[in-house]
Amino acid sequence: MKNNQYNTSLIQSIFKADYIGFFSDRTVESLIAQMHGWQNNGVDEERELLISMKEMLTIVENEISN
Amino acid sequence: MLIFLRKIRKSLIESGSTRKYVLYAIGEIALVVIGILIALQINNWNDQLISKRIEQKLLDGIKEELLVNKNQLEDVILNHEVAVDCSRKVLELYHHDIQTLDSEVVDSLVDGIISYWTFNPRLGFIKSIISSGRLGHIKNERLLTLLSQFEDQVHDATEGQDWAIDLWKVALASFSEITYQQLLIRG
Repeated sequence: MKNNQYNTSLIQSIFKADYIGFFSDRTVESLIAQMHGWQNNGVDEERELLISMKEMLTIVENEISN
Repeated sequence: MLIFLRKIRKSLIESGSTRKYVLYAIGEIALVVIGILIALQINNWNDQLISKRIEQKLLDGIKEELLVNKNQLEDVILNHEVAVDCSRKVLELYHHDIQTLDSEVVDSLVDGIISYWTFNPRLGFIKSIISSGRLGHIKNERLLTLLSQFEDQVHDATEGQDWAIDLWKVALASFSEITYQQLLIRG
């Protein structure tokens, strides 16, 4: 697990310089909407993976104890 | 044992009774067959014991790797749920009066999106089992199915986060460019 290698200070400065401009830009809004969609899908896939991993762990633990 | 059998065989030949000799021969063949079957069974038990030991070692390794990955994924999901919530709130801000935006709230939401953790699972052990053909030692059919799908599932789960990060970068680049163009016009 790692945090993304963003230049956070640069991003913050972009927002602080003109966050009102950011929220007036419909292109950016559309991109953020797409990003939100991908994030949602990503979290759903991650939850499915977690369920699968938990099932595997249960089976493995049962097999080890038998 | 062999000397004993040889003596019986010799005495039967000397007695000249074919019937008794045939019966003896059948008995000797049966003894050999039983001996072979016992040897095969012992060999089979031995193979099963070795396979069981290998399976236990594989299961221990799988368990260790899965536990590390599960703990990491649980943390990542918590972080991603915050990021999803932040991006939803950022989207909602587009429908509010921009002049009334609280910069601290905006900064906090942007922080939530920026600190987007990636899931980097440990797959070395499971991959090595599959590539080395040791998967056959695992007896549980359901576990075999899940293990064979695992790498694809990890790919599906990480694909979404990669796309989201890319789109965030595109959004920022797009916004930076627009701001720069606007400055040029103003200048």
